[in-house]
Amino acid sequence: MTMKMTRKEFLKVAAAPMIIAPLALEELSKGTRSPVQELGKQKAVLVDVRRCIGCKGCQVACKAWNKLPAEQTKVTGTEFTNPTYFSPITWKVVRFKEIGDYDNTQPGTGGLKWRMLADNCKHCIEPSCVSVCPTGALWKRSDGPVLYDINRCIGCGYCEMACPWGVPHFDEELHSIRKCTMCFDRIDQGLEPACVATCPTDALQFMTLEEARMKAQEAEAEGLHTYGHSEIGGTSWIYISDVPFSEFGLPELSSATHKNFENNLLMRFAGVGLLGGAALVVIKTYADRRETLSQEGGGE
Amino acid sequence: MSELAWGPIMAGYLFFGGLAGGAYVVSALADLFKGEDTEALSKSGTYVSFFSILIGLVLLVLDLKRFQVAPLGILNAYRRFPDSILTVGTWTITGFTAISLVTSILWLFKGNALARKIVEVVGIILGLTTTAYTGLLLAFARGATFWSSPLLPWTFVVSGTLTGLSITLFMIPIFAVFMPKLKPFWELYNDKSKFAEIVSRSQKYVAVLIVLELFLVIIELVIGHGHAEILLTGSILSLIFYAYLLIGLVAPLGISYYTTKMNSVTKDETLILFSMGQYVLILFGGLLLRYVMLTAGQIFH
Repeated sequence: MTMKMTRKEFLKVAAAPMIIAPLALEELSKGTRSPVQELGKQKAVLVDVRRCIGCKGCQVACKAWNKLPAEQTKVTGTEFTNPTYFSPITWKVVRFKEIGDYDNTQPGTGGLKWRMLADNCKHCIEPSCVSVCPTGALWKRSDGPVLYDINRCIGCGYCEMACPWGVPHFDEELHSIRKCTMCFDRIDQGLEPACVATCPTDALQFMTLEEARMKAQEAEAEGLHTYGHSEIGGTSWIYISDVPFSEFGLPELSSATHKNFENNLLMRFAGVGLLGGAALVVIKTYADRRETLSQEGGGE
Repeated sequence: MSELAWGPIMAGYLFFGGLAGGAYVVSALADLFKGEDTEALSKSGTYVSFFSILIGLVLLVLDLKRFQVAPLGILNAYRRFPDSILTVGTWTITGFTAISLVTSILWLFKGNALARKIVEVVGIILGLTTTAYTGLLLAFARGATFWSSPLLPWTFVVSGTLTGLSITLFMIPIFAVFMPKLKPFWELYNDKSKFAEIVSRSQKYVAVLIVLELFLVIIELVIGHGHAEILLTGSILSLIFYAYLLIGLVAPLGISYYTTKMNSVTKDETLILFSMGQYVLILFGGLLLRYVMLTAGQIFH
């Protein structure tokens, strides 16, 4: 038995994928990136480096609240930062820095001062780790924290590479990436993150992102240094300091979000390809012409 | 301190992924534009590309640290809208694997030539994308500033094409010896002058690709975000880098020059022998390049 199809039926069948495909793509794209709410609704932590006394209370509070075991480290005698790196069990590191030649006019200071910076996941507004995660194991919660689902993580390690601060680390025992969660479980209970709650000098302050950004703006107007205000499109962890953040080894970053960074690189990649391709065509044409001329010369 | 997240297995994945894309592009272009006299080359490249991408995929899956716990976790990447370079890569490599398999089947069972050529056009795009992806994957990792260069993906594209061409030619006698019934490798292998002619003609392309790769690597070092010193001085990595330059580029370029000069006066066997050695060096160099770049980027994270 043969089945005949009318033109109308054929058009219906042929048009179906064209209608379904965009709808399916739209459906697929839903939920892949958590919508970033208005900045006012997002939570943030403002870190005033000038207020930090280096008690490491925040580092201990982080370990205690998140039940993270101690790191096996060595006392070097010259390095007060301990441990010096993030790991699956170290989500917060207080970086110590003795800095000179900033204010020699103050008598008795000797031009030297200590500055300490409580370093951890910056909970970027548009996080690189979330952008690159192939399985959606990492996401940005609408009120600020960048979180992860250990059951969705495949251990590809790309978030470790994408994060400019090298924050996420794979936990071999838990078989998942781990990092600071901004104590989302405390936030859900109306509490401050553990590190903020324990800080005795208010060097860490929990507030809305809008407030934190406003304070950062005021600090900039006073000539202070800020970090996280514009870097990588802004972060939910904003720092204020009277010394440059390069002193603490924090990388200098443009304000481009990860997507902008990728697009920019892709454009430059295409540009190099076009230029290189054009150069190769010119060289080939020149070589062919030279060969033709030499053959003609040889022929004569 | 934790060890490097991406080690030799990942370098192997990038190497085989790039090589597979390169081998396919070379073999498909030969089939589309050169026709029947390069049948062996086209077939060899197609078969090699399929097996290489399979090896690459196995290495990729083995490198996933959660593989033992959730071996099917990678399937989550297919459920998402491809908005991450990794998901784009997952789809691209899947498509490329399918295309290289279809092309291999069409060659193996003497399928319709027109159908094969249409598939090859799609395959060239996917092959190039796969090769470029192995470099873009690194370039898009913002944390590793050493990789954040548009030249790195092009270096990998050129290296992928070079290693792809090399393995394609290298495998012709291997196919002939180990699978003599697989046409037309045995015939070509026995017709030394014809095989030598193909090898000789390809030397021009090999030399151009080596020079191009050398040029890209040098430019990358010059504008390399101030990180070039780790590759140039005082570390084991710098030794591996020099080994790559010597084994993977300088020595093969020397062989290219030598074979071009000796071509008219030396026997075909010598030309083939030298070229085979050259291909091995290029392949080893390609692997070293991936390892060096992968490690250097992570050191500067």
